[in-house]
Amino acid sequence: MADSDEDRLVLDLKNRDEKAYGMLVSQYQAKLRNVAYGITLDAEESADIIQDVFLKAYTGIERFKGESSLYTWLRRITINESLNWVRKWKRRFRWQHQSIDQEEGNAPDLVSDRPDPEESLDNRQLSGMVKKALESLPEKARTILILKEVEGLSYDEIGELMGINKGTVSSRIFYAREKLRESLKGVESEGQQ
Amino acid sequence: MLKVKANNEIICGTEIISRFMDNELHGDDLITVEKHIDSCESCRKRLDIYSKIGSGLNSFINAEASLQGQEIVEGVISRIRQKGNWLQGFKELVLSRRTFIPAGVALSIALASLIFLNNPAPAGPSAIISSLSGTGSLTIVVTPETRQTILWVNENG
Repeated sequence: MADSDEDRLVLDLKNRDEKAYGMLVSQYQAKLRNVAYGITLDAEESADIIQDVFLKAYTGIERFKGESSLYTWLRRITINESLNWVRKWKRRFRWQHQSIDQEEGNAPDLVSDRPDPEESLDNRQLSGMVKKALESLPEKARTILILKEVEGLSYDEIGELMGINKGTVSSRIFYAREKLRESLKGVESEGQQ
Repeated sequence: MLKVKANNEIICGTEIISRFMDNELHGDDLITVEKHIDSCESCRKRLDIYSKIGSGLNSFINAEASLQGQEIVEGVISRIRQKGNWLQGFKELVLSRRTFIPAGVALSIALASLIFLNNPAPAGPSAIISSLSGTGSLTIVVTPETRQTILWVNENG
């Protein structure tokens, strides 16, 4: 979005223009939901988190000073909300229940439009494995990996966003990649056969 | 700057490959690692796996996020409307006469009680009201200790 367009949008948002909020949500919800889902690994919860994020933006738009882009501001809120959710639910052992669901094959079907049931099952299994591998990562390492791989941020940007130095960003990304590499070793060797 | 040494053991299977993958190496470090990768199959393989992990993550998360998009938009707008109505309602309530008058009365009573309780009643009559014709009067006396109000009506003036 061009700077002048964004300035106009911010002005409309500050004037509580409902159309402007509709535009804001339509424009950013999918990207923000990627971030929220990458951190929470819960589809429904990430949808709720995104709603809360936009509601916070509605009530707090007066505090937005334009020092960063609107998206950067919303992403920061999304990361905080998502990490808070993970910390809250980790304490309540919710993820153990999700793992059981996965073992029963309830992971989301990523390619439901494909007619081949075997292929669909393979993808479901792969999806479940990716999800399980991601779950095995500590939330901070997972968040940083998502910011790198999904958002394409530089180490400096991630460091600033998470309040850590560049060296820590680098080591956490490396740790996360190695952990995923280990977890998905079976998938990789099957693919090579 | 990382100062990567041209030593295969220092580069192979380390964080340096991950940094290379993310374009976080520059200058001499970048040249050294590029040279190393050209000659190291193990590192090329690791880079390939990292790249697959990245694209796998993106497809997995994108597939999840594509669901419920419209629901989110509608949900947010509906909640914003509710919030907007609540905020507007609160503003109107605060500014309306319906609130001002009872709030003013309540405040006056509270202030009067405070003043009344802090100041003991005088020993003499609080007020003497005479009729316009001069034939009668009303004397109001408040007892200092028990704070009972006595109304004394004198009809003869």
